Amino acid sequence: MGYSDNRAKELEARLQQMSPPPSAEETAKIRDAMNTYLRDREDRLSTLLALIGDTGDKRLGDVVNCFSQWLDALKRFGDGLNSTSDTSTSALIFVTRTSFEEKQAIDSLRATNVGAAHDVLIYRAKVLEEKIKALADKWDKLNGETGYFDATEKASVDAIRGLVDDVIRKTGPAADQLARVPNDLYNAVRSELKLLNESVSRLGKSVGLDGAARTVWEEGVKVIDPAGKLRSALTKEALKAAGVALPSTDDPNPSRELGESIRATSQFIDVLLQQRVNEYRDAIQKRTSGLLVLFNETYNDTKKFVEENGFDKAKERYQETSDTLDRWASELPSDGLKSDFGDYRKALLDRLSRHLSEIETMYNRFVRENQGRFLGPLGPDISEALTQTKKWEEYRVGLVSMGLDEKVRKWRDDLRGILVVNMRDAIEKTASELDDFDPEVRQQLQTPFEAFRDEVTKEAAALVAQVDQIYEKEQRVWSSDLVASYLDRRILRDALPQ
Amino acid sequence: MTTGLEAYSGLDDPRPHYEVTWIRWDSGFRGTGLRVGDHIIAVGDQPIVRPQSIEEAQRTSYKAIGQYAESQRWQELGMHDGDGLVLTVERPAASGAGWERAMVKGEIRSTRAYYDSDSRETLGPDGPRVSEYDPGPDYQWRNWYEALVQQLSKVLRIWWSTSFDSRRELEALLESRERKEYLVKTYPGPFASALDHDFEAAVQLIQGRTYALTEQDLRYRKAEAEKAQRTAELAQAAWAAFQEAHAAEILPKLPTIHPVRDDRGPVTGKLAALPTVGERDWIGEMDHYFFGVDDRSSGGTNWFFVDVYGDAATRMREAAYRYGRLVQPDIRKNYTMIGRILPDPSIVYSQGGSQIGFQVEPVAALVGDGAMFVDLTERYGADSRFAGEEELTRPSVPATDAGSSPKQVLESFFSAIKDGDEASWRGCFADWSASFFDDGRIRIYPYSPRASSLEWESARRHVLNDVYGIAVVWEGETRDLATGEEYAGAPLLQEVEIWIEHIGLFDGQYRAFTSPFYHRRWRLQRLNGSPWRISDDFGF
Repeated sequence: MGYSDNRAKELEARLQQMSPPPSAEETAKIRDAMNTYLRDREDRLSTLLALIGDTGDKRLGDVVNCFSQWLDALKRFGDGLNSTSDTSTSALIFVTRTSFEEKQAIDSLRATNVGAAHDVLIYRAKVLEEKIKALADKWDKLNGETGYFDATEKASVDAIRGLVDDVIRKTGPAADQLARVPNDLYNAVRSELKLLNESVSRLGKSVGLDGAARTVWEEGVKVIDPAGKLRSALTKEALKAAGVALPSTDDPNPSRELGESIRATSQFIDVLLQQRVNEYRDAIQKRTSGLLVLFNETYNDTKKFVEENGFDKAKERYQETSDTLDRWASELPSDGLKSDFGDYRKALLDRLSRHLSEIETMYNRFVRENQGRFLGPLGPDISEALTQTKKWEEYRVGLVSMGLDEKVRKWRDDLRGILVVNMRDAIEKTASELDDFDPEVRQQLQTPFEAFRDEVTKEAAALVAQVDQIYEKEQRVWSSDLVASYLDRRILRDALPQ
Repeated sequence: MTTGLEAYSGLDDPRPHYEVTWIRWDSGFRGTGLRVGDHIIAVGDQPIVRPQSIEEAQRTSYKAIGQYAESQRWQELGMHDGDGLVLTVERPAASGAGWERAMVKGEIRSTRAYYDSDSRETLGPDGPRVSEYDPGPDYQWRNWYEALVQQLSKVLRIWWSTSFDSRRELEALLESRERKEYLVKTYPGPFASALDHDFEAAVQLIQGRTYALTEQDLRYRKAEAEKAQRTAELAQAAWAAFQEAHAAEILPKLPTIHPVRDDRGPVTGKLAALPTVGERDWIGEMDHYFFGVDDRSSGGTNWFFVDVYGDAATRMREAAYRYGRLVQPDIRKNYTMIGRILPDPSIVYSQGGSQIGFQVEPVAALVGDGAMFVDLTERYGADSRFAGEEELTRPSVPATDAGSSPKQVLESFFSAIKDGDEASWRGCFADWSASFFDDGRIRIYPYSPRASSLEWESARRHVLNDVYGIAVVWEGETRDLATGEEYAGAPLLQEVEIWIEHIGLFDGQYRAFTSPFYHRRWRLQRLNGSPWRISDDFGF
């Protein structure tokens, strides 16, 4: 009879030993009621075992119902035997004692909360399964947000790259275009001097230069006014009309590329770079206070979840139930009950242990899928996915390798060379043309020429100073270290679980 | 020779006794301290014992004290008129717990008859003639007096019967007062004086002792609909007042910014009015749930989460639970919340996929379609009370365990009826039963469920109608029905008797009363040291 064999034998022996013995008729009646009860009980035990083995998540109600049905069977057993006063005292004792023993067995088994233990274990497996799905989904969601921030941050850096590219593009041709200016200047001045010299020489040939003729020549030179003509020819307007675009701080436009390179570089340094860097930093801040907060929340929740729902907890619950069932089986009031229910205890624990195994499998999967992500120290791939540190190092290297430093320095050096050296050479070379003039005329020309030389040198020096200033500023805002600081992502690393 | 006592046999009682049912006006025990209702447990030095056999009972019971042939016994003992007799009696202790014992010394007297100067039998030396119709044809004195004595005996032994309608008996008794007054006035003397004393004592007893019930005691009687209406009105007013008081803080509409991508600064810390959510709006994983609000008013989707297990939401839900207990059990669990937007966003998983949204901590909520309002910024200890809760608060049904006294169990039982807590009411009953065969053998069922839903409904009807309160007035002594020593595995079954009084409202006064519908004597049992449980099958 399954889990009632020893109990049946025990009760039969007790029936045989009743003293004084009831009548044969009453004994048969008791035996019949007893067997009916034991059959009912066996059904309930089988049902209970099936319920505990079931993988449905809410079986407690059915378990409670099973115990109620068991109690009903016990009540039928008592009702059927001791309801009349002709019941023998022996029978009364037998029924009362048996009923109490059975009631104790039922109550104490019910008190083990084996039904609740079943539901809890099933629940824990399902919670783990649900959590695996939830965390995978959350990670996907967080990745979506990571993509958004990657794109936003990249847009800012792409803009910086564009600005750098613009500066580089615009500083490149400035020197090339300016390189012609000293030569043009030389040619224009030389040409003007030649014309003046020819006029003066022609006059000398026609009136002579000796004696009284010299006086006539001098009067003629006065009329020609070479100094005035040279002064007029060396104005910016006149030179511009002659195709010489002299740059100055007031008007760098004569050299369009120089002007654009100065403007682009200045703007880049003073406004645009800062704007883009701020945009980038704002995105980083939002990634930290939004995205990484969400990640940390999930990470911490997972840690708490493991503390409350980990396999250890399930093992504890199983062990508690196992201990309770041990006590139940060992504290039963008769040997027959102890023997039968000792086996039954094993069967119950066998069913529960299957659920525990399921939890272990699920838990291992949970750990496998989340280790390094939401569990334990973060894996490098996870950190990288969240902060994109390596990727951003590549961006940094890319920006630095655009050579903005070098390009701007070359721009500055080239301009300095043209404006300072080449222009000085051109003017000095032009000055040698004065040697061809009559000493008296040469002396007259010396003053406007020197004034012109001084003006050009001064303008060039001022322009060079402006370019130097831009270069110095550029040096202050753009270097490998500075670019690294603009793209600093340590705040992200620091915000991750340590 | 007679004691002048009438007594009822209590020989089958575990403490065999004779219960005094009447003390005649000329009894030698008048004025000795003996009372109607006392249990005589010894006469002189002879304790009252149960006869050993039916034959012995037949031989002795008719001449026991207070029985119709007691004079035979006094004669057998050679007693004479005026001989002293000491009775040992037990009565419920005035302290309300157990019995107290007293010894009263009276005397045996010859049976007396009284006659007037015309040799006509009278009631007492100066009393009216027994056969006289005076003052009218409906009042023959003997019949009237004998009926009255029966009535007074019943009243003075009020505890004897559970089928006793005290108010009806009082009315009947008061019908005799006019004639009693006539007797006292017309036939003054010891007889009239004794009857006057007995009569007024009976009236006083049957009127029942007075109780002072407070508003708090009676709060449970407020009709549920009335309470619900009142609470809903308070809820609406409090909700409007809360919104007005916080108008400057409440955002005109839910924020439409992205909770992660946009700057949350402008809305952080502000109050947001969330649309109504119910239990179907719970989202989250199996270990953690949130009320989830997906606001699509801006065309997109914008989530707001309220942590179901957060401190404020827990207080909100507990307030709704208390409303269910105190006002109406079937409140709909939907919540219209005003909540504070917290600095950090949150990510919550649901079947439709993970959602990112704002975390909101509720500060106030209208619950159950406006049935109740709770201001979560207000705290009373660990709770936040719903509007009007103070008016409704009453003690919860105390749990009972093996350490609880029988009186505590019964008080818990009645609290459960008043509070409408059927589960606690049902839990006070024993799930075993014990009874006795005629031959005295006890039979015990370890499993015997009690208490039907009909009895529960009946009990509830009574406490909401004519019963205004219940008081435990006396707790008996514990006795063993089965000692556990009878045979191997025998149970230990103990029993105790508790007397209670039901309190009604009569002429503007709360007074104890009895009715056949109500049970004054309750038995509680304890099986093998388990908690005391009610072993009677009635519900009230």
